[in-house]
Amino acid sequence: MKSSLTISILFLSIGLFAAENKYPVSDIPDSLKNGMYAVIREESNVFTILDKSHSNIQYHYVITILKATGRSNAILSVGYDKLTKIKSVKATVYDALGNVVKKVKTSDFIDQSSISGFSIYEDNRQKYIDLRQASYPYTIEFEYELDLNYLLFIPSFYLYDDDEVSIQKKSYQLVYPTSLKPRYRGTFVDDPEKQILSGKESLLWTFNNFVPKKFEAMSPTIEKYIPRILVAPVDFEYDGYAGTMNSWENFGKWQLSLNKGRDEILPETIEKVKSLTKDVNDDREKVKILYKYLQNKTRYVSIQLGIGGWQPFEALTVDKLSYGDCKALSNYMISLLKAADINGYYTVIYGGSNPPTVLEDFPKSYFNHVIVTVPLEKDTVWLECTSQQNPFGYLGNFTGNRSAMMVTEDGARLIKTPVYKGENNQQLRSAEVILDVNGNAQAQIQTIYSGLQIENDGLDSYLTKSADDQKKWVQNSTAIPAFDIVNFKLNMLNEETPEIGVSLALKLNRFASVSGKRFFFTPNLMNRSNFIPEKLAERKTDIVIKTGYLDIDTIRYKLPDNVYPEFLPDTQKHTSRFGEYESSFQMDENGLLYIRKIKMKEGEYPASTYQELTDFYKSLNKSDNIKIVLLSKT
Amino acid sequence: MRLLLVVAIIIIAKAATFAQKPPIKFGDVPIEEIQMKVYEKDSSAAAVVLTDFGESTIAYSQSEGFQLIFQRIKRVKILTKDGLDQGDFSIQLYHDGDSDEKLINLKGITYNLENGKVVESKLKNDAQFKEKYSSNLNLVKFTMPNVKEGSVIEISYRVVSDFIFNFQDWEFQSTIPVVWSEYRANVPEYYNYEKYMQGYLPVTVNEQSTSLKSIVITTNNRTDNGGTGFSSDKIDYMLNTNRWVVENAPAFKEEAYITSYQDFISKINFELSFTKFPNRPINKIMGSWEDINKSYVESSDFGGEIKGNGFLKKTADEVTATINSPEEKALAIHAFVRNNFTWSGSYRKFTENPLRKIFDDKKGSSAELNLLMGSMLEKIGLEVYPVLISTRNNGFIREMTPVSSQFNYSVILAKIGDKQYLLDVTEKLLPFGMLPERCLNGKGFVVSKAGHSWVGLSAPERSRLIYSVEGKLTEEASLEGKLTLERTGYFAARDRKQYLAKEETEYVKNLTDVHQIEVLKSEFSNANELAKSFKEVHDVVATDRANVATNTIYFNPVFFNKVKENPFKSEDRKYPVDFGLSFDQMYILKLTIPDGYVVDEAPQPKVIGLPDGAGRFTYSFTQMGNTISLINNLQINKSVFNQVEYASLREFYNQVVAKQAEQVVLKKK
Repeated sequence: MKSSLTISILFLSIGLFAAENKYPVSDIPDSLKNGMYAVIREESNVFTILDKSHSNIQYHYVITILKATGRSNAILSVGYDKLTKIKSVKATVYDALGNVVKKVKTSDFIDQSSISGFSIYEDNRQKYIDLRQASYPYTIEFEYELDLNYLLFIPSFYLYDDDEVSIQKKSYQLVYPTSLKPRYRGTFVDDPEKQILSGKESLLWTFNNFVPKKFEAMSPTIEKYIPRILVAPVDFEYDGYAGTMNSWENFGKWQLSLNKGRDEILPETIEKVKSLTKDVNDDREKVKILYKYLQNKTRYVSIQLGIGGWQPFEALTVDKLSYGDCKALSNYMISLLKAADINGYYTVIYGGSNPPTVLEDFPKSYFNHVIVTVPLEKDTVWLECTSQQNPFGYLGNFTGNRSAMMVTEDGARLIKTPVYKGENNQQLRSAEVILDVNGNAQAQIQTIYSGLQIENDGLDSYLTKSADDQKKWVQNSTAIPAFDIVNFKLNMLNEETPEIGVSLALKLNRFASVSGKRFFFTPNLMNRSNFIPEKLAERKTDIVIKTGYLDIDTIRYKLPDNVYPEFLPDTQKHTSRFGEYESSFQMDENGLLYIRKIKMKEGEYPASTYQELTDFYKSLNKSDNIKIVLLSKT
Repeated sequence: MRLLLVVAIIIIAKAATFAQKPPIKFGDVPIEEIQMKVYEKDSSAAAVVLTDFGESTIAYSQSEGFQLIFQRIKRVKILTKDGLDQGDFSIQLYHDGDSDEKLINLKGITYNLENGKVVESKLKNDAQFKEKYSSNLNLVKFTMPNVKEGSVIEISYRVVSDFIFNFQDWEFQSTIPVVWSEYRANVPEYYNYEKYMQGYLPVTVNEQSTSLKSIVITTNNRTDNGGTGFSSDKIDYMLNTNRWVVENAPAFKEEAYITSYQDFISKINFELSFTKFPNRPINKIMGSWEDINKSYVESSDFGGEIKGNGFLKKTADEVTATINSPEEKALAIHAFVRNNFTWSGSYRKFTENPLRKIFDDKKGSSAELNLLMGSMLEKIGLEVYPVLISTRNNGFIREMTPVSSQFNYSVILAKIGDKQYLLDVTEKLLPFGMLPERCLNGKGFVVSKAGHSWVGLSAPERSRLIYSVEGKLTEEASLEGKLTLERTGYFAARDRKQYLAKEETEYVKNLTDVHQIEVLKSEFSNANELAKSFKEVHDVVATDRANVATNTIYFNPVFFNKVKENPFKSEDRKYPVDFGLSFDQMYILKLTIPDGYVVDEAPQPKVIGLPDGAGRFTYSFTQMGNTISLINNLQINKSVFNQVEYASLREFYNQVVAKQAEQVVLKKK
């Protein structure tokens, strides 16, 4: 009797446990907790293709937040729009033991417009809720289901959340009618588990106990080492536009169908184009004239409504209203070119400084932006149509050096945008500094920035700004401890290279510190390196130097009478596989001449060279900070 | 006699009518404005508002009663490409319950000069978009067509509102210059608004006039003989008209170290004070600070929360069960709420949820958590008062204007013995008695049964940061020794946040990266003891801290926490500098120099002061045998410096930068 009672109590308590406690923190192995701020307990995403124009997402996510750093993971949101309906959404909070602390229903979520700082018009909305708790650890469970009234994108899968978030279990499943089998491409993943059920198939990938690699600065993009799965449909339909994505050509045809009939412009605009270009023979010159016309006539306004993510609004509308988004402005530019009998092509591209790698043999949308490509006899011209100040033909950090989909008359193909290599990205400076006996100085400085260096601290965007704003750029970008601006000038010297000039006249109070009979100052006036790669026990990923460059600073110091250097530093020279550095100090009858030259090479280097990189920077930092000591003869 | 009076009123009304010719007529743009190329008063302007004219009128209609009608005509000149975004507009519309503000008669025209001809482009209806912004606000956004360099843009609209309390404020200044900004308010005698002008610009016109108006109310009533008859009542009332003009307002530019641009922009604010309808008593909406105190001391979402919520007594007693001194009890309750409740991030002055719910959810707004803590303190018999404040980003309080909408946040004042403490529990790393930095803004309004009072919201003590180094310099230019960092007040809170957010190794790694040092051993103390100073001691090696030449070593003895560059780059300043707190930053060095070397040259001791003791920098250097000692201390003794003091503050920092750059020269014996 007694023993059976114990058993039933035992059963009872097991029953209680099973019913009440889900996801206790004690279930997480220590190996997944060390150094992490959160652990994904379970994450599953089921993407179902219902038919060519309907799909569905079922998402389930459970995360344990171990400390405050991870608290933003407790703010949950799910987005929707005209074609995406939220079928259900709910969330639950558990304490460390796995007891339910709070349950959240659909109606508890707050409905709001998605961040719209960038976009003026859009119909993207989201439902969100803040479930942050006061004490750690705790667990959040989040589930939703979406009905998508289209088939176009299929989410990619990455086995990665953040550097300090480990993953206990994560899965991705695709369900589809056999006739609509999507394409997929996995890297660093095993083959999926396949199931066949009456006319339907399913592919399932599961992953257990994954600890992320620490992100290292100057490393390749994470897609080079993180397990991932890219998925894309073959046949699809979006808002009444059907297409096939199995080749770039077919994908391009779909884009063509969206753009069709949207290229008409006003007869007077055609006239205008003709009159602007009639006396010009060179096609490149014509393109330039029309690009300037576009820059002067239009401006960028972001518009994300309905199919607006893919379809430009009519060229005629841009003609009448003089504004548009990247799609509309590019489409309009192409119409202007057409009026001058020049072919321009609608080119879909990723805009941003870290573009994803476009796989040539796996067509899908990797893109978020549109530009215009104009192939000419001698070379190709690229037009960024959303900026009123972009130099003609210039694609910088935002769209340069990557693959893009150029939509042609009969489809599309992948093309590569231009690269600015090291020697094209220059910063050439010459300065004269007149030093007086009290250590004060006057400086005249001319700097020419070219290639990608025109984007230094956003310099290129300041040319059209007011004098006050330009002055702020000068104040923030002049690396001298204390100075007063006497006058300054920013101007475009050459759009083609491109090249921007900055001239400064500065007053440098107490430039040299004077103590007793000595003067001290650092001859490297305003281009001192202090970067040192972060210290690592062991570098794991390769080293990437994204942008090469060449900087030359020539600084002439006129010294007060009867003052001479106590000693003159030796010429500094450092050479490495990453680049070369040289700085020299010379005295002549005009005073002290300081010349510094640094050339860095872009490229990818093995992880094992990390110490070399650190040593290179350490020694050039040291050279940059060398002081000159002057002695007064009197 | 009566006749005379009427005549007099008519004359006044006439005069007012004459004066009231609008400064702008929609659609009537002078050709000079379209031809204009540059704004002479500010040649750097990207765009300029030529005229901005607003008029708010409380008008009566028989169907709607009194309504607030706001009308605006604005004309903007675009001068450069950078000004193109002046063609984007967004109008806020308030709604509550069934009632919403309506935007009507929105018109817009862009004027361009093309081949010497003026071409007009009209704003189309389909270029307007409505967006749900928040629970009580919708936005109507639109973009004007054909906006380019040289365009003149003109818009005109009306907003009809039932929310008489929501009288439009008016900003005379903008981020671009404004040539003529005019605002008029036409308010029937029944409504009384408190108006206050702020900002640094002179008002060119400030006129007031009255005119006689009447309301005709028609009622139809069945007459005895079966037909329908009309009767009408005519009610006369006085209409008060105000007119303000600011001419040639310069562009407002943001500067570093200011509280909120709302504090400095030239603006007129309105607050409904009272209504007085015929044959009815005055309905006071706002009056004096006394009234505000009275209405909040018992209100269920503010003062009432302290006295009420009896359910908190149990927990308050439990938390303080083993404690005797009232001060210790208060500390325990403060720590209990701070540690067990999460701040939602919302700034509120009143509670929106019952404290019971907050207690269960363990989460709430600033008002909810602070009033909950206040209520618990009251339950154990302490003397506590709720305090209304305005956070730094909300702008400062105008004591001259008794208006409660100036406040946006609330904290608690506790009086224990002869001491008083300002308490807030939203920040986990701030100890008892220290308000978050966002709250350090002028004065707080203490609500009390015995009458209101004001309490200063400055930091209870100055924040200190000390870097000290004790060690030796080697002939190879390395610094080896102990680095100690110690800080109190807000410096401690900021660094604790950094330290506790990450693993200790991460924190140390960051330290090594920032200072370019090698750390051999570290020791931290008081990271969680908020009332004590947060301290860390590291054994460090730092290479390349000196230039070594033949027989000579030069080095800068300020190895850590140097002011490397002047934070005040701009030569002039339009608005005050507000540091938020007063502080000390000290650097102490005790250094053994390499054997066989003597000091050849050393920085001279120096004291740099700001006028009236507002700041002080001391630099002292001493030498004893082969040991040199340096102490320097940067003190800022007040948190706000006005524009007149800016030049001296900037020069003060220039001198600090220069002094801290000085070198020590060692020579071989």
